[in-house]
Amino acid sequence: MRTKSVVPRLRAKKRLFKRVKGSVGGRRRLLRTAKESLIRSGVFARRDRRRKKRDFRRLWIIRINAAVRQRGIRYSQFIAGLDKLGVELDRRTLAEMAVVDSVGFDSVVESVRQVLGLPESTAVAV
Amino acid sequence: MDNPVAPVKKSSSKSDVAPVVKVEKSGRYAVVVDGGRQYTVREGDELEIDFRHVTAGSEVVFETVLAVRDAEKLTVGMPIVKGATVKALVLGLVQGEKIFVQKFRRRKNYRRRTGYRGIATRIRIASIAV
Repeated sequence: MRTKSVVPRLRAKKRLFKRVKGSVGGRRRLLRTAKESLIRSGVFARRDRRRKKRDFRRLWIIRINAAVRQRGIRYSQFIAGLDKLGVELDRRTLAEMAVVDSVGFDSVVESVRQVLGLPESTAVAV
Repeated sequence: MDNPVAPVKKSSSKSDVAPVVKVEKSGRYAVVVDGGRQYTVREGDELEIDFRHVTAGSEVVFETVLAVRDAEKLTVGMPIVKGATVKALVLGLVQGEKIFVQKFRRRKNYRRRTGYRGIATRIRIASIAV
């Protein structure tokens, strides 16, 4: 007897359409388009898992820059100073510290200032 | 260990690189390095680190402590705080949520899709000693 693939096919379609719910227009109605968009979404997901690492690093740098400028030095000076001191705290840690433990962060900036031979912090320069 | 991965509850899928910045009182904390990543930990914290071949109930010791914060001051190592160790209790191994790795090259008849579930070691920070 010839076997038809109707039932499994319908199930597969059903599964597929379930996964593209919420898409716009044909992407949730048309089989071919839905299939394509599912693959593309997967590709974007993979790409962006990698990109996320860069994005966050940029965000941390922005936050650190803002925090150290409030304390009167620039990001580049701050990093150069940490290098000179041999401090290996990463940008994620520093950015978090600046928010959660601003007093502790003050002391880090202060030791950077000393190693760079900069005067004690006075004015707030942004 | 035949099957080191107990089917423990789902770990939070949010990844290593997206820290939830909680604003709270500073208190005692330490910064430790493991698997090329830095963790800011407090006593009693539970966190997931990269897979280690350890059994639940055993102890993990972090020797590379980059900074220790106590009530008065923050001690930053250059690069490490000498003599400081952080000890943690191993709670077990957890598997992350499934990630589908989809690869596709147009016009090249190339398409791959594999699943991946990372294994992490769940630990609880027992002590921060200087």
